[in-house]
Amino acid sequence: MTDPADAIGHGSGTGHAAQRGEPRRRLHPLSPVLHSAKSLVVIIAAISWQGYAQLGLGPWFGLVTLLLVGAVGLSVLSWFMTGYHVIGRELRVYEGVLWRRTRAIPLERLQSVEVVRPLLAQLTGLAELRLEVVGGAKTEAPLAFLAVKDAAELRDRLLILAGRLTAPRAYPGAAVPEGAAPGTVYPPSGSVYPPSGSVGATGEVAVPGVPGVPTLAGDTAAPARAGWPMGAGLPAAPPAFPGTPGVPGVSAGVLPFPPAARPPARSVHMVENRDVVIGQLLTPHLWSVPFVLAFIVAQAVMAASWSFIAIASTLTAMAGIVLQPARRVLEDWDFRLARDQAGLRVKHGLLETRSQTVPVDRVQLLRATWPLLWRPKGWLRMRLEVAGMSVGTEQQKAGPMDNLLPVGDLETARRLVTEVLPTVDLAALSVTAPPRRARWLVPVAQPRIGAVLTEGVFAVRSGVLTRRLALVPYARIQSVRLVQGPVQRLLGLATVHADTAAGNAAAEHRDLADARMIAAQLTDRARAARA
Amino acid sequence: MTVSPLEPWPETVSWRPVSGRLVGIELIRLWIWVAILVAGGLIVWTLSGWGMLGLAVAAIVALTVVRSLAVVRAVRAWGYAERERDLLVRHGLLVRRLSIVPYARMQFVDVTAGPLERAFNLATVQLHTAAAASDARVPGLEPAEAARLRDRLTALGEDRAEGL
Repeated sequence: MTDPADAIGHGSGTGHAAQRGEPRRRLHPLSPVLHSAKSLVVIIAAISWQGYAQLGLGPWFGLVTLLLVGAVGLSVLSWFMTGYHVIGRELRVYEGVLWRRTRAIPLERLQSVEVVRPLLAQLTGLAELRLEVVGGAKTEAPLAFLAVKDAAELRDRLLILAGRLTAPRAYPGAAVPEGAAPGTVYPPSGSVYPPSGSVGATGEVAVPGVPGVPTLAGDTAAPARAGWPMGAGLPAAPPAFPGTPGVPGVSAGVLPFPPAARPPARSVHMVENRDVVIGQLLTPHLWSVPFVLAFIVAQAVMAASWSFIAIASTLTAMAGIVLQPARRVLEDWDFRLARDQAGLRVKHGLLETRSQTVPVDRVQLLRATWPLLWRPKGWLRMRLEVAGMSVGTEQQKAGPMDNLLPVGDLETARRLVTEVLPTVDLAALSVTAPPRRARWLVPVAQPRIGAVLTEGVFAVRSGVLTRRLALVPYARIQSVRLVQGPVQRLLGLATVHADTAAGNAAAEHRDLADARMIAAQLTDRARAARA
Repeated sequence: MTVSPLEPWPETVSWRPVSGRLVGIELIRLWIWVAILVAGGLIVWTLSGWGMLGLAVAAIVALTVVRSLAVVRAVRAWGYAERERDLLVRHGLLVRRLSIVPYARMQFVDVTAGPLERAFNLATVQLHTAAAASDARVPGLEPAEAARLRDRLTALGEDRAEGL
C-alpha cells in the first residue's frame, strides 16, 4: 500500500512493529453485518410505510436491496480499513476510509477495559471491547466486534501490559461459553480498575443490588458507560439506584469501597435550612416576579386583545422561573458534609435524599460565588468540579451533585476550603489585578478581577456584580494555554488558561511578561505537584 | 516587549514549522467553501435578479483574496516545539494561541489524514489530554515526521505518571 495514510499508520512504527509488535489485526468478519444491521432497520422503517404504498412491491424490494447492499458495502469498506495491534506498550487503532485516523493509546493510561455484549453480538457470539482512559467522558476506543475469546484474551493482555494485572487472572467471564444467557454482560466488564491501582478491590466493585453499598460518586457515571441501546433488555438485578436505569453488571463504581471497610465519618458542616431558604429568596428569580406580574396586569388592562393563551404562557414561563429556587431549596435541604478516608461525604435533599462521596484527590477545581443579592449577608456558595462526575444526561437532570456549600458565610467557607485544599486560606487570598491599560477591554472589572499563584493553587477572581473565585490545584492542571486577541496584542496583554479535566480557569488580560511568567510557573508547579 | 508572545522562552525552545504544503490544503479548503457560496449566490441572483446579492458575491470574492494572502502567514504561524517535559504548540494570526501540554498528561495521540491531506501527503497529529480545552493539534506534518512525533509522544508519555 502506497497510501500516505498507511505511511502514517505504519511510518517509522513499522520498524518497531517488526521488532516488538505484531501484525495489524482486523475485527471479526461479521462486524460489518452487525453494524449495518442497526442502520438497516432504521432505513427500512423509514421507507417502508410511504414507499411501499407508492412504489409497489417490486421497486420497493429493489430499493431496499440497493440500500442494503450500500450499507453493507460501506460497512465492509470501513471494516477493511479498521484494525488494531499492540506495539510495545501501546495499542494502535486504525480507522476511517476517507478521513483516516490512527489512535495510539499508551496502555498505562487505560482506566478500564470492558467486554460488553449487546443483544446482536450475543446472537452471533461476538463481543465489543471498550477501552476507557482517564477523564474521558466517553469510551474513546470501542473495538466492535471481536470474537468473545479474542476479546477476553485481548482484555487480559492489555491489562497485563498496563500493569494492572500481574498474572493472567482467571476471570469467570473469560471462560463463559458462547451460549451464555442472552443479554448478560460479563462480570469483569464492570470492574473498573481504580487509579489507585488497588486491583484487589475490583472484586468488591459496587454492584447494583448489593445492600449496604451507598450511592457513590461513581454510580452516577454508570449510565454514561452503559449507554448501549441494545442493552435495554438486560435481565435480572432490579435497578438499585434511582436514576440508574437497569444496567446490571455494567455499573462501574469509580471508587469501589468495600462496605465493611467504611470508617465512620467525621461531621464537618451542616447547613441551616433557614439559610438555604433565605439564600434562595435572595435570588433574581424571585425578585423578578413582581415586575412580571405588573407587566402581565398592565398588558391585560391596556391591550384588550391580549389573549388568554398569551397570559397563560407567560404565567407558565414565570412558574418555571420561580420553581428553580424552589427546586434548589428542596435539593439543598438538610445539607450535611462529612469527611472520611475516601473523601467528602455529602448528603442532602428533602424529597429525594442524595448522598455521595467526593474523592478529594479528584477535585479539579473549586469555584466560589458571591451572588449580588447575598452580599449584604456576606454569603457565598461553593462548588467542586470533579473529574468523571459531570458526564451523562442523568447527571445533568439530577442537578448539581458537587455542591460543597450551598450557602454559608466566609468563616464557614474558609473552614470547608481547607478540607479540600489544605493550603488555601480563602480570607487571605489577595489577587493581583491586571494592569490599568486593561481598562480598554474591561472598563469596570479591571480592578476587581485578578489572579494569584499561591502555594498550592492557582486562584482567579472574576465578575463585577456576581463575584467569582476559581481555585485550581496545581496537581490537577492538564495543560496551560496563552491566548492573545488582536486588541490584547495592541495593549501588550494576554490571557492565561489553566485547563483541568473538568473546566478551566483563565487569568484574563495580564501583562504579557506577567502572563508568560504565570504560564511558566503553572507548568513548573504542576510538574512539581505531580511528582 | 520586543519578543513575540508566541515565542515565550526563545532561548530554550526551538520551534519547528509545519510543512509549506499546508498552504495548498488551506487554500483549497477555503476555495471550496467560497465556490459553494458564490455558486449558490449567483444562482439565486440570476433567478431573482436581486442586485444586493451581486454585491455580496463580490464582497465574498474580495474577502477571499485577502484571506488567501493571509493563509500563507497563518500557516507560517503554526509551530511546535518539543521541550524536555512538554509539547508547545502555537498558532493563529489574529488571535494568537500557545498551548503547553505536558507529556505526562497525554492520554492518547491521534494521527489523522483527510482526503485533501492525503492528496498532499500530509498528516495531523493531535495530543489528547483529560481536559477538553487542551488544544495540541499540529497539522501539516510529513508522514514520517508525524509518525516520529507520535512515537515520541507516546514513548515520553509512558514514562510518566498517571494522566489525571
